[in-house]
Amino acid sequence: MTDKLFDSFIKSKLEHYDSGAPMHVWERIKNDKDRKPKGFFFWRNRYILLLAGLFLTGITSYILLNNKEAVATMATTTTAGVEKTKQEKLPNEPAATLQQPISTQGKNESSSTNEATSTHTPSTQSTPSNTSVTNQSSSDHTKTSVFVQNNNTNLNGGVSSISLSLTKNKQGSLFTSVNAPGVKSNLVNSSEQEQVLSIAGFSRNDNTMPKFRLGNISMPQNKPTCPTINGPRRRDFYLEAYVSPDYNIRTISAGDTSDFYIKERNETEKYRTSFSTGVRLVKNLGEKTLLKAGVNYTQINERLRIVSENSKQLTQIITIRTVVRSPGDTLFVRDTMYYEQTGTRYRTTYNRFRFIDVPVIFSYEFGDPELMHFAVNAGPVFNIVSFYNGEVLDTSYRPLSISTKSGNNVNNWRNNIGLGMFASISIFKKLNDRIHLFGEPYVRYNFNPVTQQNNFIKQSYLITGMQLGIRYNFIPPGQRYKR
Amino acid sequence: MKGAAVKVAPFLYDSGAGQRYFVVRPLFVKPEPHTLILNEQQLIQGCIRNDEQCQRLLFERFAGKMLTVCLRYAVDTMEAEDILQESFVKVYRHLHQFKFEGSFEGWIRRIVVNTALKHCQKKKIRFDEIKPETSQGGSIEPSAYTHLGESDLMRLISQLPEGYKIVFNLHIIEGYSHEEIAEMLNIKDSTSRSQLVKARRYLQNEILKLQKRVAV
Repeated sequence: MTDKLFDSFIKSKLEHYDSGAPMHVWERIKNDKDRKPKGFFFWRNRYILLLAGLFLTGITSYILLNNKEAVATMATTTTAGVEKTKQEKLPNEPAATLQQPISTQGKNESSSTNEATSTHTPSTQSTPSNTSVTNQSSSDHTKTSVFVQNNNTNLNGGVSSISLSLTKNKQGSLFTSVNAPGVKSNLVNSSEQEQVLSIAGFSRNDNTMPKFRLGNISMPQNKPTCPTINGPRRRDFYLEAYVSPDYNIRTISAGDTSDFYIKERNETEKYRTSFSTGVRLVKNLGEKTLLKAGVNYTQINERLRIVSENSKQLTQIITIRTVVRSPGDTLFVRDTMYYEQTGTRYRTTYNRFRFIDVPVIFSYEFGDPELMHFAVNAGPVFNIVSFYNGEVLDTSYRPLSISTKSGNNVNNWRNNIGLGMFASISIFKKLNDRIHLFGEPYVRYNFNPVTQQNNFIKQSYLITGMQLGIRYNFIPPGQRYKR
Repeated sequence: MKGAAVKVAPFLYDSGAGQRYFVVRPLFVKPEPHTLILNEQQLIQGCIRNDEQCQRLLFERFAGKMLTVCLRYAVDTMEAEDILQESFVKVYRHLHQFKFEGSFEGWIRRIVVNTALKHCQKKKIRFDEIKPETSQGGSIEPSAYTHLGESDLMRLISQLPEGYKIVFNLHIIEGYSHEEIAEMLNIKDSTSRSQLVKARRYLQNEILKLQKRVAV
């Protein structure tokens, strides 16, 4: 018989072979089918989801509130940019800003000035300042006065209002006058303009200089501030993300059981690579002290290997032969035989102990932040959930499932190992203004074992590792000190 | 028996191939002909509506064949039943995705095979592979197979080392090509081919041995 025939013989025999419906499986399916499919842990636990939501909302609010000024500056800059674009699109429009040549020789200056004023008036009205624009036309010159009064801003030296006048004579020269309490001048050349600007607290090259444009008056953004008694206060807010290769030291005690059991456990269960990963938010409390909180995931891996020598396997073979002696006379012959195999049986199971925790860590920093700085960290670690799978030897040296999924052992292993302590030393290296790299050798100890109180076997872990990660500062470099 | 105290079967089952048979077996009498007839499509729609009776009918119809598939991949009956359970739960959950194109049995079978493969890949407990004895050479007479029943073949296949077994089942019985098997199991085509050849030789040797025993 060829291979092809052999294959087709097997296929024809087995493709539609019916082993009979096991109805006891239906009972299991009935219970299982309406159960919700398992998803990621966080999506199943609504309390953790709620906490995560609150956490994210808090961070977002904090960032937004702290960056309010930056957002306002950005908005002003954007408006100015738009205005500039508009101006570029109108080549006949006179250069009305002080940064451009002040003297123009275009024709029909009066109408151009009025056009510019009317173009930008809506944007002026939209500003929170009280702004009034008046146009006065005479035969000799055109005068455009823009009066700005900002009720919300105090300028240097108590100046609360600026009156800006642009006047054109017949020759096309533009006269500018800035009127403020104590400041009043009519300026022609740029040096005088600079002088006026310097009196008002601005310089020509200063980015924060208000754009003195007709109909578009913006106020300076750098508010004058008074120094506090204690000087500037640090306000940093970081996000740290890390991974860590771990090494754990396991402790097992088994009550009155002989040491042989512990020895057997240690021989059969070998440590394999473990790891931790997590993210945390860091907020400074003082100049050198910080508070860190986040979420940490730790996985401890072990391998259980059981060797059973002289293991025996018994196989039953039932052979039914059909003998057709004559049509209608069929004889069924049933033979039953057993055969036994002896050999060494290896059983390997990979155990996983997983923990999700919330560490709350206090940190003290020292060193030069610009080059390399250090921190000493310590604090409690609160376990949220622990789950395990795999097998361990029980006291009768048989493999026993530790899976938290199986109902039998759920009482023997904790789903929450409670409180632990964390201590570490961090080394930071600056990469740029916002990002630091860090390495953090740490040690963590949980006060409770992973086994339940009523289980006479106590198994606990001391975890050590080296967290490697990055730290990102949400606060831009210019705003890290607050008076 | 007509007119006796009866418990009438509520459904008549139509297999779709011209065969109709009663699914819930009556205790005393044959069911009346006016009882509801369900074809495959109605059965599926009933399952989608989460009608437990339809789901049970579906299970009764396909579970036997699918258990055979599971047994071919599993180490023992318990594992096969676990695979069967998981597969049927998947079938019920994803039945709304069935587009009524092609064979429904084929669709279920694919789910069962995928679930079985997932089980095989997930399995952490391994036994030493039994080294197949060297080929005895020569072809086997067709008469050697005549006495072989399905259960014998199932038993012989279950004795195959795991790698051989999976490739043999996928290629010979499910009809997957070596390229598809290579992709499914993340192995090379050549590995799949060699595993199949070894599996075939192993089975043929075992059949010969069995034949000799029977002859004795």
